[in-house]
Amino acid sequence: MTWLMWRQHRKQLLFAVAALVVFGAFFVGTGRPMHDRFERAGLPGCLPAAREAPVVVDLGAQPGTPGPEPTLPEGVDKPPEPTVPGVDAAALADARCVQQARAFYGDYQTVPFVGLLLLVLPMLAGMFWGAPLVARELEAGTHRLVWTQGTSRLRWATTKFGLVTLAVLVLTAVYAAMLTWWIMPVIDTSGQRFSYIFFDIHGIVVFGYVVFALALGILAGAVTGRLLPAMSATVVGFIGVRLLVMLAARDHYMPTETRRTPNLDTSFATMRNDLNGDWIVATGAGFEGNSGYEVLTIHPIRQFWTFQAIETAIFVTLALGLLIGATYWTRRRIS
Amino acid sequence: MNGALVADGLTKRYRKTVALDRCSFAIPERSIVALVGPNGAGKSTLLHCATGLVRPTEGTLTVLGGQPGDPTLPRVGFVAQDAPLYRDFTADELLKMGGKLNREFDLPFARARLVDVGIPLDRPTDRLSGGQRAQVALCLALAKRPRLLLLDEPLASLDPLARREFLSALMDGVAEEHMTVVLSSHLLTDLERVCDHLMVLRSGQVQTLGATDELLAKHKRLIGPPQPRRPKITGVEQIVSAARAERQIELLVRTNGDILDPAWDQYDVSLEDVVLAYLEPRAGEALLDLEVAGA
Repeated sequence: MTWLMWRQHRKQLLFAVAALVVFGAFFVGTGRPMHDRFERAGLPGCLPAAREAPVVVDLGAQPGTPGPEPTLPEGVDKPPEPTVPGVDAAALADARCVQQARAFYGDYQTVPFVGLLLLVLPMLAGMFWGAPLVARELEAGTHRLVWTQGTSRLRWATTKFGLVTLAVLVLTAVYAAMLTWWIMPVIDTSGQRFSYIFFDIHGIVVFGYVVFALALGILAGAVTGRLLPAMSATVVGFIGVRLLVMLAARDHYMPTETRRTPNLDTSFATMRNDLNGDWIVATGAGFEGNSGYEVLTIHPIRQFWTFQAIETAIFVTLALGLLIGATYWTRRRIS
Repeated sequence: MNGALVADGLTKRYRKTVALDRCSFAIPERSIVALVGPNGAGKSTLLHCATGLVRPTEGTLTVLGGQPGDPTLPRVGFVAQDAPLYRDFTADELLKMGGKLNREFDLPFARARLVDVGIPLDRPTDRLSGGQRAQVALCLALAKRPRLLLLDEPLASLDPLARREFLSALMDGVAEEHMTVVLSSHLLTDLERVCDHLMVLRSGQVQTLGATDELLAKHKRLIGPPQPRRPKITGVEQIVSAARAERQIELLVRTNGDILDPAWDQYDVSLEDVVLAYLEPRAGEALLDLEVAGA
C-alpha cells in the first residue's frame, strides 16, 4: 500500500521538494543580507527592551539631534552617542532602537507584498495535492482497478489520505521554518505581528491552513469525482472559510484588554511605542492638563501564541471533519 | 439457491433510471457465462454490484456465499470495462501493485504469463496496444487465483485478432482452475465459442439464463399458417418472438414438451437466434395482440 502511494505520488513529491528548494534559495538569498543589516543595526540586542517601553522619545522632533544613524561598515567603531538634554540614557537607547527599527522596516516594505503571495500557498496544496487524490482515480476509471483488489476501500482511503497529509505536513514544517527565519526581522521591526498578513503566514497556523486546504481538496474530489470542479471548490471554500474566520472570528478568541498609555509629554514630544506588536482593536484619547493620553483596546502581544493555537485548532478540527467526510464518501461512493 | 453469484430481487435505481429491476437468478459454480444485452441493459451495473463498487437499492446479491465487496473481493477477479490501468505504470509495476494489495497473488505466474504472450514488462502501459493492455488487466485478475472472474465488455475495444488472443489466454487461465467466469458483451458472437451458459439481460431484467445446450434444445422456431388470434400450441411454454410473413407466421418459442401439432413446422435454432429473440422488445407479443384485435 505504502509502495503504491509512493509510486503514484513520487512525481508530485519531487515537484514539491523542487519548489521548496526554490523557496529556500529565495529565502536564503534575500534573507542573508537582511539579517546582516538587522544585526549590524544592533536590533537583536536592543529590540527586546525597546519593545517594552510604553512611550518613546520622538528623536525626529528633538532639535539638534542627528537623524537615523548611518550603518557603519564592519570594524569601524561607533562614534560616541550624542546625548539629549533631559532624556535619560535608557530612554534614549530605546528611542534610537525604535528609530533604527523604523528605518529597517522602511527598507523592507516589499516583504508584506511577498507575504500576500504566500497567503495563497496553502491553497495550492489543496488544489494540486488534495483535489486530484480521489478525483483523478474516478476520472481515469482506475478506482475500478484499485478498489477491486483484495484491500478494502477504507484502508485504501485512510492510508492514502494519511500518508499524503503526513508528507504535506513535513514539507510544511520545512517551509514554515525557512519562512519564519526569513521574515522575523521584518515582523519584529514592524510591530504588526497580529496583522492579517504577518499573523497568517508564519507560526503554527500555516499547518492548520495547509491540512485544511488539503482535506477540502480531497473531499471536493471525492464528492464531485472530477478534477476541475474539485479544484474550483477548493479555491472558493478555502478563501471563504479563511476570510470568515479571519474577519469574523479571530477578534473574539480572547477578551480584549484596555491599556492607558502614560501621558504623552508634549515638551519632549514623546509618542506611543507601536513596536510592541499589540493588536490595537480601538483607540480613544483623553487630556489631562497639558498632556494627553490614549486609551487602547487591545489583544496584547503576549497572547500571540494563544491566538495562533486557537486558529490552528479551528482549522485542524475542520480538516479532520473533512477527512472523515472524504473517507465516508469514498467508501459509500457510487461509481 | 446455491451458486457463484445469486441474486434475489436485485434492484438498482439511479436518480432517474432503473439499471436493474428485480433480478433473481443463480449462476452455477464453474460455469462460463456469457452475459449478453444491449448497451444500457444493466450488465455493468450487475458486475459492479458483484464487486461492491455499486450498492443495490433493493434485494440481495450473494457472491461465493458472501457479501459483495470487502469480504469476498480477495476471491473475485474483476476486469472493468476498457481495462483501466495506471497509464504511467509499467506492467511489472502493476503486478507489483497486485502483489501488495492482495494477500494471495501469484506473481511468478503473472510475470511468466505476460512474457508468454509477448508483453514487455518494462514499458508504461500507455505505450501498449489496447489488446496488450487487456492482457495485462486479465493477468492481474487471474493472478489473484480468483474463484469468480468477472469481465466487463473485455472484447469491446479489441480488433478481431486481439479478441482471439484474449479469449485463448482466458481459456488457458481458466482451464485448470475451478473458476466461475462471467463475461459481458453486447454481441454474442464474441463469446459463443467460450461460454457454456448464457444470460440475457434487457432493460434491467433477466430474460433467460441457462446452459447453452439446454437452451438450444428447448427453443424451436415454428412456422405455420397465419392465426386469427394468439396461437395455443401444446408443448409451448412461451412465445418469445413472432414475425409475420405474407402467408405464414414465424415464432420462436420456448418449449416444455414435444410439439405434436402438424400445423407447425419445427426448426432448430442457433444461440444467436435465441439471444435476438429475447432482446426484441416484445415485438412478438405486440404483433400477435394486433392480430387478435383485428380478428
